[in-house]
Amino acid sequence: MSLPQQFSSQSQQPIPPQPRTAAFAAALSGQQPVKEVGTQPRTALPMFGRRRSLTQPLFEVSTTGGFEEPLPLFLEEESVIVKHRMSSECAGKRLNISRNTGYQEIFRITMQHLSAHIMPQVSWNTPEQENYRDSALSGLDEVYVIDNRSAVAAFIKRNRLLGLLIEAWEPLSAAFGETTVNKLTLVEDDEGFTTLFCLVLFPGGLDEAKRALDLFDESWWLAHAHEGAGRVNFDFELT
Amino acid sequence: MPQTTKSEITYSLLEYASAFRRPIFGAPASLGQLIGSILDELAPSGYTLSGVEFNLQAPKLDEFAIVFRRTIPAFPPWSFALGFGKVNIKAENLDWTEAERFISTHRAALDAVRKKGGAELQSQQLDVGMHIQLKDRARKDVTSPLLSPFGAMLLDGEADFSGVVLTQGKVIFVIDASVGVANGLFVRISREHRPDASFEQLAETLHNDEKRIFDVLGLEGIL
Repeated sequence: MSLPQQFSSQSQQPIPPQPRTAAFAAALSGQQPVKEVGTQPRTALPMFGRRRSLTQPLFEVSTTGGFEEPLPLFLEEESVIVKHRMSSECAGKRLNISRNTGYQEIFRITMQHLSAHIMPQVSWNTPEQENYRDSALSGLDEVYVIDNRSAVAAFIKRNRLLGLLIEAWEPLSAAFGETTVNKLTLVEDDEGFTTLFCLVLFPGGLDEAKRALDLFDESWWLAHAHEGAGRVNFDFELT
Repeated sequence: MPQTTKSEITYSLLEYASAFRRPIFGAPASLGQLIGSILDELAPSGYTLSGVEFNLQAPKLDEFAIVFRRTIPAFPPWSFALGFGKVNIKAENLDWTEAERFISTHRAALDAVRKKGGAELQSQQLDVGMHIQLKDRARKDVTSPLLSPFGAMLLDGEADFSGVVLTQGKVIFVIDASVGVANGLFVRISREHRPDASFEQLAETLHNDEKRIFDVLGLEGIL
């Protein structure tokens, strides 16, 4: 890959060619190499080549076609687990998976011609894996702070609120700002009726917070409130 | 005392790696006996034969590995990997309440590698990476004391987040913004230990490190 190609990459960050060693990778990406006990170069083979805790074990994904939006993936050893169902249009398309690990390491896997031949390498999450990763919270962890995780997950699953909450994040951020903390918490009233509240921890003043909530209501929530069926509400908390 | 912040470790990965002084090509026991002994020791923690992977396809001997994976339960994953020159143990979302059982099982497996495989440890390293979600305070406010006014001048404007990387010989502490959980910190603790240090000593050091980080940042939550 030439230098211009790197910077015109579809991925979110410019990615260097596959390095030969950790030191070489570090030199290319401006990162510090990490010493590994008893090993010399970093390799791409299972178990001993990977030091996942050294970097943030999470992935960002970009696509060049076939997907409507980026798909969050988990990469476990040599296998790719796709958390969200892919459409049949994906076949024959290219999927770029970029690992965003902050400053320690970046690597990329490119699967070209994602077809029946390649598909066996892409495995769906098993029910056991889904439970382990709190599937009811899939996609929410990245944008909401979650109080009492298991209870909130069960409530979201029971009331099918996942899509609504994911969709709400963008207008919520537009109204309150992207840096605010949005917390999901269950509140039970005197009559025993439980509601999932999304509380925006707002660092500004009361008037400013009210204006932001009004903006959110008018721009999005009023049109979607029926989807929550009275089980979810949005409010702010001054910090 | 810093202001306290409720927090939760939403995901963690522990990795232990020990390197041998010499590769165990001339193991006193046969490979089958070695695998059997290791599996016997790991069995009390839910490792079974169906979780053993034997990879002969590695192009380099250094990358050859027999990987024992816990199958009961399979999640959160635990694994014990044996190579000619090293052992690697991994565990996701390990809780301190499980520490005793985890240590006794894996120490016994490592002892089997020493006795039956003739391995002599040269070094030990323990790394932990944690995503910690802060519940009631913005992460920027929690870590802002880590950045001096002088450091803040590096950016032409106010930083959204400030973390820290600290090194001390063969120790690395990293506090970063989590890319996976909202309002989360990514904390990495990496220490190289003496080859004769026991698992209990490694655990105690790690617990102290975690506790210190929580105390300094004012985090409240279960380690």
